[in-house]
Amino acid sequence: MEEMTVRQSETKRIMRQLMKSRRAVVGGIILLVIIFMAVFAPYVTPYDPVRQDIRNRLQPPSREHIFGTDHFGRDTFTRVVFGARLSLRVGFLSILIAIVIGCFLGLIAGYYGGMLDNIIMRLMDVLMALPGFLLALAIVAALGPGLENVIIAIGISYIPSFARLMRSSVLTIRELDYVSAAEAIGSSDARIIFRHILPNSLNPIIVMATLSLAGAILSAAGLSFLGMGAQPPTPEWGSMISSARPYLRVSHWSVTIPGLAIFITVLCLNLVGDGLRDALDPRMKNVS
Amino acid sequence: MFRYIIRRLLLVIPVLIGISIFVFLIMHLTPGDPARLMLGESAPAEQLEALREELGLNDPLPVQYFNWLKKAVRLDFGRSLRSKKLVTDEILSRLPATAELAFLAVGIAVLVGIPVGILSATRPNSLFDNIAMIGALSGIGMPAFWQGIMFILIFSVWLGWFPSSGRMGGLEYYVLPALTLGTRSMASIARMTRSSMLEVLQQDFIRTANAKGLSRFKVVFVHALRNALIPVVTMIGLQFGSMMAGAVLTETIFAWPGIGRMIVEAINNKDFPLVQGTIMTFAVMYALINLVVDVTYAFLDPRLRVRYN
Repeated sequence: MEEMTVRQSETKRIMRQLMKSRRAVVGGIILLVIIFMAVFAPYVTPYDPVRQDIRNRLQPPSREHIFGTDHFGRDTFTRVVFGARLSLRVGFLSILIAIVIGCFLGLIAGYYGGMLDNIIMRLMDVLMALPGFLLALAIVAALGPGLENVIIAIGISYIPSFARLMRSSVLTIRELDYVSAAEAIGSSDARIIFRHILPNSLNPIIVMATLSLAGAILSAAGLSFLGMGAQPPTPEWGSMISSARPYLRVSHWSVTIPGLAIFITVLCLNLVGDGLRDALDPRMKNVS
Repeated sequence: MFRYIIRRLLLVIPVLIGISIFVFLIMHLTPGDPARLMLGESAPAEQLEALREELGLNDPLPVQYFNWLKKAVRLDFGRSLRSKKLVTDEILSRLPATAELAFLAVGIAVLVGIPVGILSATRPNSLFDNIAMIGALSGIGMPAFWQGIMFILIFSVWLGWFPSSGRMGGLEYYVLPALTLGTRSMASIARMTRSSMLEVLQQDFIRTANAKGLSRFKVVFVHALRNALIPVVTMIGLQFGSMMAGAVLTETIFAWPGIGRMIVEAINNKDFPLVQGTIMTFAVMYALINLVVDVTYAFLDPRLRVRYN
């Protein structure tokens, strides 16, 4: 019970700190609106994201279609709203993969050290031998195109950063007195890891997860743009841009709007991430 | 210093071996028979068998890997399935276009990013600082492929100032691709310069410099900047690494004949030898860039230099 109140007041302190950052608040509110629209997409717009209406193709913005229509006569706004579902889902799932595997590897590497640590960290070095987007591209080249493979590929490309971060927190926390105390009273490894080390190393992970989510959404859109992710007619932001691109000169709306959607989502995630970093981990304040 | 470089170089080897296993496996991870994937569904059986024999696909995997590696260390990745040219020649013929673009982009990023970062740091929370930092954050969040298309829409379709694609020689062909490729780096460099500068400006020796009556200019540019630039130089080096990823998208949009666009085409054509060769090239270049960055860092920072000597 007492632990609960300590935890709560800590959460309160962090929230208060976060609310002080005007940028983080603005980013957070816009992000909530985007998530809301994604969840309630069918209620937000009356149109179908996939059904074609050739008679109304390449329309400029009007009262019926606020951002116009694409080359198949589909409402651009509708497709962008439905696209938010995909982009957010792809981002969340790939970062989830990265967090679960990366944190697990980092935990055991840092906690047990020695040979295991060496093997895991060398493996992470190999994954970092290519810039993240290129690694994801290479994995998709191996697995074949498709949204599931994009999720796996981006997930893998973010594993090393989480593993490294987790490992370094474990190494720091291991040395603290309360861990020695827990060891001294005979706590099991699992108890020490899950009760003491994990909860105390969460803050930097949360910050990195928010910022990585932004990167993952960008990468996923990039891969789909290259034709390696979502395939038409799926309303995905990156693939919408690439399929509408040939009509740029006639009507740019179905290129401009999905791009703005990616841009705004990523920007807001970065704003919230920066705010969280300042609130959760004052030491990291100057790292960009 | 020399010993440090050697040690750092030796550390690269296991990483490159690891990535070479992955690169080798790319072809085998793909679901289905690689020979059939390359030749298409309707290929006759003899042709398939011939290709399998040629690529050594009938050997056990480890044997295949070592045969492949033996050639790869001599820079022989076989021939492109499409053009039938040597993969190494294909890469060498495309590399200069990418390098040009990357150097130009990093150049623009440095020339804009560092001054903006300095100005922001000397006037923290001013209007300029706020605009510049929101701009920098935007630069980081902007999808490069979309930014490129928007540049084409604005500067070539609407205004007609620059050509929208290709590399025909004239300087005007470089403007939009280099700006697109450089934006992200410009933003990162500006942010890094600002935060590094802010940190240095709070230190004691700056107070001393101010106290003894040095001009603001001298304090900022002579005393603070030299120290603040150390992490920025590292950052600039790392930008060359991110250029490789950026080149894939930027070159695709501007039909730029570099290796970024080549790898996308190779993946779409299932031209495995070309994909393998290109990714291996990327990995080696990335390793070398990181090596140079680490060594420069050790060289620039006297505190580290002492430790390695």
